[in-house]
Amino acid sequence: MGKHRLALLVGLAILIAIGGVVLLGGLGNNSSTGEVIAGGVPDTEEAQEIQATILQAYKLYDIAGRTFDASQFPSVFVNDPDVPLTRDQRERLQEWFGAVPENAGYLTYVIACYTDFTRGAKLFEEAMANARAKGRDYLTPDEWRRIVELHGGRPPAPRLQPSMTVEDAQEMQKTLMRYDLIDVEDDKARVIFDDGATLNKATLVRRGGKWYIAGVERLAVTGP
Amino acid sequence: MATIIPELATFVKSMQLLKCQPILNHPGDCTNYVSQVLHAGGYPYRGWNPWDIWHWFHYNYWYVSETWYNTPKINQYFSLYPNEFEYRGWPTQLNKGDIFLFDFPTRDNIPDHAAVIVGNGGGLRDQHTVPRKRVPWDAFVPQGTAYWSVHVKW
Repeated sequence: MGKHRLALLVGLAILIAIGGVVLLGGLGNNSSTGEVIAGGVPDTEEAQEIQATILQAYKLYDIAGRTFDASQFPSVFVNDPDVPLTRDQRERLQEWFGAVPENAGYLTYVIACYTDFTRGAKLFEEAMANARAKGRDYLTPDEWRRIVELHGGRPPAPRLQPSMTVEDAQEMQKTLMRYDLIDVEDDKARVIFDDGATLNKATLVRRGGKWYIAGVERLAVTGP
Repeated sequence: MATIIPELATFVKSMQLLKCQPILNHPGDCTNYVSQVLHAGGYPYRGWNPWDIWHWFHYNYWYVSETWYNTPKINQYFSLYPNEFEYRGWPTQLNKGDIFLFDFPTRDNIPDHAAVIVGNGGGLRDQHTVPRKRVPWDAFVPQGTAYWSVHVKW
Protein backbone atom coordinates (compact mmCIF):
# COMPACT_ATOMS: atom_id res chain seq x y z
CA MET A 1 0.00 0.00 0.00
CA GLY A 2 2.87 2.32 0.97
CA LYS A 3 4.74 1.58 -2.29
CA HIS A 4 1.61 2.25 -4.32
CA ARG A 5 1.07 5.59 -2.59
CA LEU A 6 4.72 6.53 -3.22
CA ALA A 7 4.44 5.60 -6.90
CA LEU A 8 1.25 7.66 -7.16
CA LEU A 9 2.94 10.69 -5.63
CA VAL A 10 5.96 10.36 -7.90
CA GLY A 11 3.66 10.07 -10.91
CA LEU A 12 1.74 13.15 -9.86
CA ALA A 13 4.95 15.10 -9.39
CA ILE A 14 6.12 14.14 -12.88
CA LEU A 15 2.78 15.16 -14.38
CA ILE A 16 2.87 18.53 -12.58
CA ALA A 17 6.43 19.13 -13.77
CA ILE A 18 5.51 18.31 -17.38
CA GLY A 19 2.44 20.54 -17.12
CA GLY A 20 4.56 23.39 -15.80
CA VAL A 21 7.05 23.08 -18.64
CA VAL A 22 4.23 23.06 -21.20
CA LEU A 23 2.56 26.07 -19.55
CA LEU A 24 5.75 28.10 -19.42
CA GLY A 25 6.51 27.22 -23.02
CA GLY A 26 3.04 28.39 -23.98
CA LEU A 27 3.46 31.70 -22.21
CA GLY A 28 6.78 32.29 -23.85
CA ASN A 29 5.67 31.48 -27.36
CA ASN A 30 2.19 32.64 -27.98
CA SER A 31 2.03 33.68 -31.58
CA SER A 32 1.32 31.83 -34.74
CA THR A 33 4.62 32.93 -36.25
CA GLY A 34 6.54 31.57 -33.28
CA GLU A 35 7.96 34.96 -32.17
CA VAL A 36 9.12 35.12 -28.58
CA ILE A 37 6.90 37.36 -26.53
CA ALA A 38 7.06 38.88 -23.07
CA GLY A 39 3.73 39.84 -21.58
CA GLY A 40 1.93 40.08 -24.93
CA VAL A 41 4.55 42.24 -26.63
CA PRO A 42 6.14 40.66 -29.69
CA ASP A 43 9.85 41.11 -30.10
CA THR A 44 9.62 42.42 -33.63
CA GLU A 45 10.75 45.45 -35.53
CA GLU A 46 7.19 46.64 -36.05
CA ALA A 47 6.45 46.39 -32.32
CA GLN A 48 9.49 48.57 -31.69
CA GLU A 49 8.28 51.05 -34.30
CA ILE A 50 4.90 51.16 -32.59
CA GLN A 51 6.50 51.80 -29.21
CA ALA A 52 8.65 54.54 -30.71
CA THR A 53 5.55 56.18 -32.20
CA ILE A 54 3.76 56.17 -28.86
CA LEU A 55 6.81 57.54 -27.09
CA GLN A 56 7.14 60.26 -29.72
CA ALA A 57 3.55 61.28 -28.96
CA TYR A 58 4.59 62.16 -25.41
CA LYS A 59 7.39 64.29 -26.75
CA LEU A 60 4.94 66.18 -28.94
CA TYR A 61 2.48 66.60 -26.06
CA ASP A 62 5.35 68.13 -24.10
CA ILE A 63 6.47 70.43 -26.92
CA ALA A 64 2.92 71.62 -27.61
CA GLY A 65 2.37 72.23 -23.90
CA ARG A 66 5.52 74.33 -23.65
CA THR A 67 5.44 76.18 -26.97
CA PHE A 68 1.79 75.99 -28.13
CA ASP A 69 3.16 74.47 -31.32
CA ALA A 70 0.97 71.55 -32.39
CA SER A 71 2.25 71.53 -35.96
CA GLN A 72 4.07 68.21 -35.53
CA PHE A 73 0.97 66.30 -34.47
CA PRO A 74 0.21 65.04 -38.01
CA SER A 75 3.56 63.22 -37.95
CA VAL A 76 2.25 60.96 -35.18
CA PHE A 77 -1.55 61.15 -35.13
CA VAL A 78 -4.08 60.49 -37.85
CA ASN A 79 -7.80 60.56 -38.47
CA ASP A 80 -9.07 57.12 -39.42
CA PRO A 81 -12.73 56.51 -40.21
CA ASP A 82 -12.47 53.01 -38.77
CA VAL A 83 -11.36 54.36 -35.40
CA PRO A 84 -14.10 56.61 -34.07
CA LEU A 85 -13.64 58.99 -31.18
CA THR A 86 -14.94 57.91 -27.81
CA ARG A 87 -18.10 59.49 -26.45
CA ASP A 88 -16.03 61.52 -23.97
CA GLN A 89 -13.78 62.79 -26.73
CA ARG A 90 -16.77 63.85 -28.81
CA GLU A 91 -18.21 65.62 -25.79
CA ARG A 92 -14.94 67.48 -25.26
CA LEU A 93 -14.90 68.63 -28.88
CA GLN A 94 -18.47 69.81 -28.50
CA GLU A 95 -17.55 71.69 -25.35
CA TRP A 96 -14.44 73.32 -26.79
CA PHE A 97 -15.79 74.36 -30.16
CA GLY A 98 -19.53 73.97 -30.02
CA ALA A 99 -19.57 71.20 -32.62
CA VAL A 100 -17.94 67.95 -33.63
CA PRO A 101 -16.44 68.39 -37.10
CA GLU A 102 -17.47 65.87 -39.70
CA ASN A 103 -14.94 63.04 -40.07
CA ALA A 104 -13.25 64.11 -36.84
CA GLY A 105 -10.79 61.53 -35.69
CA TYR A 106 -7.99 61.41 -33.22
CA LEU A 107 -5.75 63.90 -35.00
CA THR A 108 -8.61 66.40 -34.96
CA TYR A 109 -9.12 65.68 -31.28
CA VAL A 110 -5.53 66.27 -30.15
CA ILE A 111 -5.21 69.43 -32.21
CA ALA A 112 -8.49 70.71 -30.77
CA CYS A 113 -7.36 69.80 -27.27
CA TYR A 114 -4.18 71.83 -27.59
CA THR A 115 -5.95 74.68 -29.32
CA ASP A 116 -8.27 74.92 -26.34
CA PHE A 117 -5.36 74.57 -23.92
CA THR A 118 -3.41 77.29 -25.75
CA ARG A 119 -6.39 79.62 -25.65
CA GLY A 120 -6.67 79.23 -21.88
CA ALA A 121 -2.94 79.39 -21.20
CA LYS A 122 -2.59 82.57 -23.24
CA LEU A 123 -5.46 84.17 -21.33
CA PHE A 124 -3.62 83.30 -18.13
CA GLU A 125 -0.31 84.68 -19.41
CA GLU A 126 -1.82 87.90 -20.71
CA ALA A 127 -3.60 88.49 -17.42
CA MET A 128 -0.37 87.80 -15.50
CA ALA A 129 1.57 90.17 -17.77
CA ASN A 130 -0.99 92.90 -17.09
CA ALA A 131 -0.78 92.21 -13.37
CA ARG A 132 3.01 92.43 -13.45
CA ALA A 133 2.81 95.70 -15.34
CA LYS A 134 0.84 96.93 -12.35
CA GLY A 135 3.48 95.68 -9.93
CA ARG A 136 1.74 92.46 -8.89
CA ASP A 137 2.76 88.83 -9.35
CA TYR A 138 -0.75 87.52 -8.80
CA LEU A 139 -4.20 87.97 -10.29
CA THR A 140 -6.93 89.75 -8.43
CA PRO A 141 -10.17 87.79 -7.96
CA ASP A 142 -11.82 89.93 -10.65
CA GLU A 143 -9.00 89.29 -13.13
CA TRP A 144 -9.26 85.58 -12.47
CA ARG A 145 -13.03 85.56 -12.87
CA ARG A 146 -12.66 87.35 -16.18
CA ILE A 147 -10.29 84.79 -17.72
CA VAL A 148 -12.41 81.90 -16.45
CA GLU A 149 -15.43 83.50 -18.08
CA LEU A 150 -13.52 84.02 -21.34
CA HIS A 151 -12.50 80.36 -21.18
CA GLY A 152 -16.05 79.09 -21.12
CA GLY A 153 -16.33 78.96 -17.35
CA ARG A 154 -13.39 76.56 -17.02
CA PRO A 155 -10.22 77.40 -15.09
CA PRO A 156 -7.41 77.51 -17.66
CA ALA A 157 -4.22 75.51 -17.10
CA PRO A 158 -1.02 77.46 -17.71
CA ARG A 159 1.74 76.70 -20.17
CA LEU A 160 4.06 73.82 -19.25
CA GLN A 161 7.26 75.11 -17.65
CA PRO A 162 9.24 72.03 -16.56
CA SER A 163 12.84 72.53 -15.55
CA MET A 164 13.72 69.35 -17.45
CA THR A 165 14.49 69.63 -21.16
CA VAL A 166 12.20 67.90 -23.66
CA GLU A 167 14.95 65.37 -24.39
CA ASP A 168 15.57 64.59 -20.72
CA ALA A 169 11.83 64.31 -20.13
CA GLN A 170 11.65 61.87 -23.03
CA GLU A 171 14.38 59.74 -21.48
CA MET A 172 12.44 59.73 -18.23
CA GLN A 173 9.25 58.83 -20.07
CA LYS A 174 10.98 55.80 -21.57
CA THR A 175 11.47 54.45 -18.06
CA LEU A 176 7.83 55.01 -17.16
CA MET A 177 6.35 53.23 -20.17
CA ARG A 178 5.05 49.69 -19.76
CA TYR A 179 3.53 47.82 -22.67
CA ASP A 180 1.07 45.09 -21.76
CA LEU A 181 -0.06 44.18 -25.25
CA ILE A 182 0.90 44.89 -28.84
CA ASP A 183 -1.33 42.97 -31.19
CA VAL A 184 -0.59 43.60 -34.87
CA GLU A 185 -2.92 42.50 -37.60
CA ASP A 186 -1.93 43.63 -41.08
CA ASP A 187 -1.79 47.43 -40.97
CA LYS A 188 -3.57 47.85 -37.68
CA ALA A 189 -2.27 47.44 -34.15
CA ARG A 190 -4.01 47.27 -30.82
CA VAL A 191 -1.81 48.36 -27.94
CA ILE A 192 -2.37 48.44 -24.20
CA PHE A 193 0.18 50.47 -22.31
CA ASP A 194 0.75 52.31 -19.07
CA ASP A 195 2.56 55.64 -19.24
CA GLY A 196 3.30 55.86 -15.53
CA ALA A 197 -0.01 57.47 -14.61
CA THR A 198 -2.68 56.04 -16.89
CA LEU A 199 -3.51 52.73 -18.52
CA ASN A 200 -4.52 53.23 -22.14
CA LYS A 201 -5.77 51.33 -25.13
CA ALA A 202 -4.39 52.69 -28.39
CA THR A 203 -5.14 51.86 -31.98
CA LEU A 204 -2.41 52.46 -34.51
CA VAL A 205 -2.63 52.22 -38.26
CA ARG A 206 0.17 51.82 -40.79
CA ARG A 207 0.20 54.17 -43.72
CA GLY A 208 2.99 54.25 -46.26
CA GLY A 209 5.05 51.98 -44.05
CA LYS A 210 4.78 54.29 -41.02
CA TRP A 211 2.72 53.80 -37.89
CA TYR A 212 0.31 56.51 -36.71
CA ILE A 213 -1.86 56.74 -33.61
CA ALA A 214 -5.48 56.68 -34.71
CA GLY A 215 -7.09 56.50 -31.29
CA VAL A 216 -6.35 56.38 -27.60
CA GLU A 217 -8.87 55.46 -24.96
CA ARG A 218 -7.97 55.78 -21.31
CA LEU A 219 -8.80 52.67 -19.31
CA ALA A 220 -7.75 53.79 -15.85
CA VAL A 221 -5.67 56.24 -13.85
CA THR A 222 -2.97 54.09 -12.28
CA GLY A 223 -0.60 56.57 -10.69
CA PRO A 224 1.63 58.49 -10.73
CA MET B 1 -11.46 83.76 9.54
CA ALA B 2 -8.14 81.96 9.31
CA THR B 3 -6.37 79.44 11.47
CA ILE B 4 -2.98 80.18 12.96
CA ILE B 5 -0.34 79.38 10.34
CA PRO B 6 -2.82 77.46 8.17
CA GLU B 7 -0.16 76.12 5.82
CA LEU B 8 1.73 74.54 8.68
CA ALA B 9 -1.44 73.06 10.12
CA THR B 10 -2.30 71.60 6.75
CA PHE B 11 1.19 70.21 6.39
CA VAL B 12 1.20 68.57 9.80
CA LYS B 13 -2.21 67.06 9.27
CA SER B 14 -1.12 65.82 5.87
CA MET B 15 1.70 63.96 7.55
CA GLN B 16 -0.66 62.51 10.12
CA LEU B 17 -3.11 61.35 7.51
CA LEU B 18 -0.48 59.52 5.57
CA LYS B 19 0.62 57.60 8.64
CA CYS B 20 -2.74 55.89 8.89
CA GLN B 21 -5.40 54.57 6.59
CA PRO B 22 -7.62 57.22 5.09
CA ILE B 23 -10.45 58.18 7.39
CA LEU B 24 -12.78 58.11 4.42
CA ASN B 25 -12.15 56.22 1.26
CA HIS B 26 -13.97 57.28 -1.85
CA PRO B 27 -13.29 55.95 -5.32
CA GLY B 28 -10.38 57.93 -6.69
CA ASP B 29 -9.19 58.82 -3.25
CA CYS B 30 -6.77 61.56 -4.28
CA THR B 31 -9.24 64.43 -4.11
CA ASN B 32 -10.85 63.07 -0.97
CA TYR B 33 -7.39 63.16 0.58
CA VAL B 34 -6.76 66.72 -0.61
CA SER B 35 -10.13 67.77 0.82
CA GLN B 36 -9.35 66.15 4.15
CA VAL B 37 -6.02 67.96 4.30
CA LEU B 38 -7.70 71.25 3.42
CA HIS B 39 -10.36 70.77 6.07
CA ALA B 40 -7.81 69.60 8.66
CA GLY B 41 -5.93 72.83 7.96
CA GLY B 42 -8.98 74.77 9.06
CA TYR B 43 -10.87 75.37 5.83
CA PRO B 44 -14.56 75.03 6.74
CA TYR B 45 -17.36 73.14 5.04
CA ARG B 46 -19.58 75.23 2.83
CA GLY B 47 -23.20 74.61 1.89
CA TRP B 48 -25.44 71.57 1.82
CA ASN B 49 -26.14 70.60 -1.81
CA PRO B 50 -24.00 67.60 -2.89
CA TRP B 51 -24.29 68.45 -6.59
CA ASP B 52 -23.71 72.20 -6.40
CA ILE B 53 -20.16 73.20 -7.34
CA TRP B 54 -20.43 76.22 -5.03
CA HIS B 55 -20.70 73.84 -2.07
CA TRP B 56 -17.97 71.75 -0.44
CA PHE B 57 -18.52 69.50 2.58
CA HIS B 58 -18.31 66.03 4.08
CA TYR B 59 -20.85 65.79 6.91
CA ASN B 60 -20.63 62.00 6.81
CA TYR B 61 -19.75 59.25 4.32
CA TRP B 62 -23.15 59.41 2.64
CA TYR B 63 -23.68 63.15 2.83
CA VAL B 64 -20.75 64.52 0.90
CA SER B 65 -20.46 67.03 -1.94
CA GLU B 66 -19.11 66.05 -5.34
CA THR B 67 -16.59 68.85 -4.96
CA TRP B 68 -15.09 66.93 -2.03
CA TYR B 69 -13.96 63.86 -3.99
CA ASN B 70 -14.26 64.65 -7.70
CA THR B 71 -11.13 66.25 -9.16
CA PRO B 72 -12.72 68.33 -11.96
CA LYS B 73 -15.42 69.50 -9.54
CA ILE B 74 -12.97 70.63 -6.88
CA ASN B 75 -11.08 72.53 -9.56
CA GLN B 76 -14.30 74.31 -10.48
CA TYR B 77 -14.95 74.97 -6.80
CA PHE B 78 -11.51 76.52 -6.31
CA SER B 79 -11.98 78.72 -9.33
CA LEU B 80 -15.27 80.06 -7.97
CA TYR B 81 -13.63 81.42 -4.82
CA PRO B 82 -10.61 83.47 -5.94
CA ASN B 83 -10.57 85.25 -2.59
CA GLU B 84 -9.69 81.92 -1.01
CA PHE B 85 -7.71 80.15 -3.74
CA GLU B 86 -5.15 81.72 -6.07
CA TYR B 87 -4.12 79.95 -9.27
CA ARG B 88 -0.42 80.21 -9.98
CA GLY B 89 1.69 79.42 -13.01
CA TRP B 90 3.49 76.24 -11.94
CA PRO B 91 3.69 73.91 -8.92
CA THR B 92 7.15 75.24 -8.00
CA GLN B 93 5.40 78.51 -7.10
CA LEU B 94 3.41 76.79 -4.36
CA ASN B 95 4.02 76.46 -0.64
CA LYS B 96 3.35 73.83 1.98
CA GLY B 97 -0.30 72.94 2.18
CA ASP B 98 -1.07 74.20 -1.33
CA ILE B 99 -2.75 71.94 -3.84
CA PHE B 100 -2.09 71.02 -7.42
CA LEU B 101 -4.08 69.12 -9.98
CA PHE B 102 -2.76 67.07 -12.88
CA ASP B 103 -4.02 66.65 -16.43
CA PHE B 104 -2.15 63.62 -17.73
CA PRO B 105 -1.60 62.84 -21.37
CA THR B 106 -3.63 61.98 -23.28
CA ARG B 107 -4.85 65.40 -22.30
CA ASP B 108 -8.44 66.52 -22.17
CA ASN B 109 -7.98 69.81 -20.29
CA ILE B 110 -9.73 68.33 -17.28
CA PRO B 111 -7.81 67.39 -14.15
CA ASP B 112 -7.28 63.69 -13.46
CA HIS B 113 -5.48 63.73 -10.16
CA ALA B 114 -4.77 65.90 -7.13
CA ALA B 115 -1.95 66.18 -4.59
CA VAL B 116 -0.73 68.37 -1.75
CA ILE B 117 2.55 70.25 -1.66
CA VAL B 118 4.50 69.49 1.49
CA GLY B 119 7.67 71.44 0.81
CA ASN B 120 8.17 75.11 0.06
CA GLY B 121 8.92 75.99 -3.53
CA GLY B 122 6.82 73.11 -4.76
CA GLY B 123 9.47 70.62 -3.71
CA LEU B 124 7.60 67.59 -2.46
CA ARG B 125 4.13 66.14 -2.67
CA ASP B 126 1.87 63.88 -0.65
CA GLN B 127 -1.06 62.06 -2.23
CA HIS B 128 -3.39 59.13 -2.15
CA THR B 129 -4.11 56.68 -4.96
CA VAL B 130 -1.38 55.72 -5.27
CA PRO B 131 -0.19 56.70 -1.80
CA ARG B 132 3.00 58.74 -1.88
CA LYS B 133 4.68 60.57 0.92
CA ARG B 134 7.19 63.37 0.41
CA VAL B 135 8.17 62.46 -3.13
CA PRO B 136 9.43 65.13 -5.54
CA TRP B 137 6.37 66.94 -6.80
CA ASP B 138 6.85 65.73 -10.38
CA ALA B 139 8.11 62.20 -9.64
CA PHE B 140 6.66 59.46 -11.85
CA VAL B 141 4.58 62.01 -13.76
CA PRO B 142 4.32 61.42 -17.52
CA GLN B 143 5.90 63.83 -19.95
CA GLY B 144 3.50 66.49 -21.17
CA THR B 145 1.36 66.62 -18.04
CA ALA B 146 -0.32 69.97 -17.35
CA TYR B 147 -1.11 71.36 -13.92
CA TRP B 148 -3.40 73.69 -12.08
CA SER B 149 -1.39 75.12 -9.18
CA VAL B 150 -3.64 76.36 -6.40
CA HIS B 151 -2.35 78.47 -3.55
CA VAL B 152 -4.62 78.26 -0.51
CA LYS B 153 -5.10 81.83 0.67
CA TRP B 154 -7.77 81.16 3.23
